[in-house]
Amino acid sequence: MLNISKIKKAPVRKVFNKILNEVSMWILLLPAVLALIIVMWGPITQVIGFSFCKLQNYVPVEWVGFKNYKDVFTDPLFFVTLKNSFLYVFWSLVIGFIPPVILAVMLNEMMHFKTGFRLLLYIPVIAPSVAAALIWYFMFLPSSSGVLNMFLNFFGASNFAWLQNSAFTIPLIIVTMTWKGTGSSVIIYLASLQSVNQDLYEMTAIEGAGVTRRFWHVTLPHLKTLLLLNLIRQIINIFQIMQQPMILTDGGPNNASLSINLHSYLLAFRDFQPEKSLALNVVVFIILMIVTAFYFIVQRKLEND
Amino acid sequence: MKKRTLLAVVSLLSVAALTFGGCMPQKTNQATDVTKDGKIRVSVGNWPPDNDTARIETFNKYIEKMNEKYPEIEIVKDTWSYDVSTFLPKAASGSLPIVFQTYFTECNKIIDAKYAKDITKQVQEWGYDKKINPQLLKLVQRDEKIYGIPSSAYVLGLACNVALYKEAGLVDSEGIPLFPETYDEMLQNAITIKEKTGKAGFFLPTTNNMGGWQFVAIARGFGAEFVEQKDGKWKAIFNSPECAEALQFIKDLKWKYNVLQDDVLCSVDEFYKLYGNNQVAMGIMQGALHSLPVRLYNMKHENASMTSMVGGKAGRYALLGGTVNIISPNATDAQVDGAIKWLEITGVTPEVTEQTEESWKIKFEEQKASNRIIYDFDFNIWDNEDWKTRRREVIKPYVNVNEKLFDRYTDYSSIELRSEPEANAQDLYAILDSALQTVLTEKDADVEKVLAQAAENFQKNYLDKIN
Repeated sequence: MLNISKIKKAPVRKVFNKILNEVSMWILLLPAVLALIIVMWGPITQVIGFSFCKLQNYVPVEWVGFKNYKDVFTDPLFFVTLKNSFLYVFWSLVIGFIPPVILAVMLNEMMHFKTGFRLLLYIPVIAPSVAAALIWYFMFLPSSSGVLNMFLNFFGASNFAWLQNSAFTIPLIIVTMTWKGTGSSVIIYLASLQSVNQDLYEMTAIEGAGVTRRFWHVTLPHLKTLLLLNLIRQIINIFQIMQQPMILTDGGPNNASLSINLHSYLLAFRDFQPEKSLALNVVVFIILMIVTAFYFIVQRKLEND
Repeated sequence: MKKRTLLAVVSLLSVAALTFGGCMPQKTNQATDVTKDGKIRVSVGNWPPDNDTARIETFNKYIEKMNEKYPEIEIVKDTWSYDVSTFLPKAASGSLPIVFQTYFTECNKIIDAKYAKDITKQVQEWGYDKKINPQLLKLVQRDEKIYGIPSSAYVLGLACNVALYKEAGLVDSEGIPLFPETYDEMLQNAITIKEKTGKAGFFLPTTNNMGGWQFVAIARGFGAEFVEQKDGKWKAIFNSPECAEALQFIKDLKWKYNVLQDDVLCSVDEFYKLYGNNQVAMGIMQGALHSLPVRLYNMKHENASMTSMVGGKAGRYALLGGTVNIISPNATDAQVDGAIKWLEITGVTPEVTEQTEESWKIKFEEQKASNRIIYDFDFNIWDNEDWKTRRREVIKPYVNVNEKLFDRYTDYSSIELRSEPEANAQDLYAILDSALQTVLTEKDADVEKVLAQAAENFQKNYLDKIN
């Protein structure tokens, strides 16, 4: 005889058993999920919510709709800083993206003093950012006491304005960042290069391929995913640049090096306009989300290929 | 899929809870306004750090006097002092000290952001509203309400480095600098100093709004005005020939005469360094700040001197500045009263009693022990001549500089004192900073175009929003 109660209870028990089986998974996940909620998703949604309000003591007192966004887009500094931030990204790709790859390949090919060179390259990475920026500040001093101008004077040339020349400000700031950041990128590329199957190099060498062809046909395809990851990371990091222009130029001359994040910081802390600063941050967030989405699309395509 | 949905729901709920939690009114420190034994707790900002023993001793003496006269109040030390980068988080979290000092230039934005308590009632009860210098009272008032009590005031003047003046031969038989009276004379002195010593003749900051602030004082001497209110609407009026002439003067200092400091993208802090190390001859500052190059860069007292702001074709104008005490918006009425009592003990009071003189002496003793320049630099914050006379008498035995090096600075008879432009002063300074940076870094910059753009920017982005 058919036991109806058993039939009805079976799926319930199944679900119950499944939950019981997965309790450990949920418990293990909980700290990470809570941490994400508390330190990431919470603040992000809060910032988005607050950017539509008028704030008093950082507490929303009035819903103002898109007013803060209107203020951001009608602020002439918005487009100046947006352009500057893209210029920072552009110059960081021109000046800072390729050298670590070349250095890593060179280090990988080196037979002697590899560890010593690796150490030398990595030293700037451990220098605190502010200290590094100050070192460069003294290098770029426009007077005769600036280190670079001392060299120019030694060779009979007159002083150069360096960071005070608006055409050079952003590329020079990027030079300082490249000096500091190259070491860590080199180490990552080097680690990846050391996992390349040596048989491939030997095979291409037997077939008569030179260094350049070996690089194009073995090294580069191996580094492809890592390069893309670093490219996107660099775009995201450089787009949010703040510390270096703040220390080296305070955004000058005439806002030529004012980045979007430095502008946002000054709005919030110097000008006491946190609402506008929050709205500006949401705009930056959206831009970076688009870049990140693009990264995922390209990454998936590369993996499928 | 179900797992993902569940995770998403849990996350969203948590985020929502956090978000709404964040929107809840925050608890203030009202609950801690009274101690267990019933004393009124008043936290005092700008407390000296542990390593500043001379000032610590002074403040401890104030506490002793406070305990004697007002035993019902307990003073709580808070070493936080006003700083642009830390103020907002401190204020937003409700943890500002009950009384703290800031500058007059910061007052407007603190009042606008509602981080200053309306203390009109208490100020009236103490009778200070009738005793504070009206020019200064205006700076801490909004809609007839009072939001602060000035603790010191100063007038901008021209600091002159005596060592460089001497080296350039620009001193009289007593070794006193031949102080300039006009911008033309100042330029001539700067040129001579540059030629004879190779050091910069004049310093102008261009960042942190300081350049704009000083430029306003300079340009007024050329006849420039910055804002005006017509039919209740504010208008930017500095796109004028007078202001262009002033900006051209600054541009010429750099490109025509080459008498400015080399680094033209710097804040006023750089001035203290260069001035203290005899690397620049002149710069605009307030007299009391001479303690900075002396303390930080061991500047010799005899190398410091000051005169009043020089004049242009429209006259001699100087800006008023100073420090003001603000009360936290979370303070109770009893705490506001306690804060005013504390200020009284430290000498911030219009009534000169024996105790006030004693407080001044404590401060001058401390300055003497720290090898600071002691001179009566301050502008009288009270509308009371007796206060100034008594203070001069008390400070006299402590003065440690040749008074002839400073007496022109404190003689206000030949200058007109002006306060800041009435609308969005800080925003105006920021825009003028950029204009100054442009003309000092671009040799071919068109002064009139730079000003026209700055005025349009200021009108469109700031004044139109308050009209």
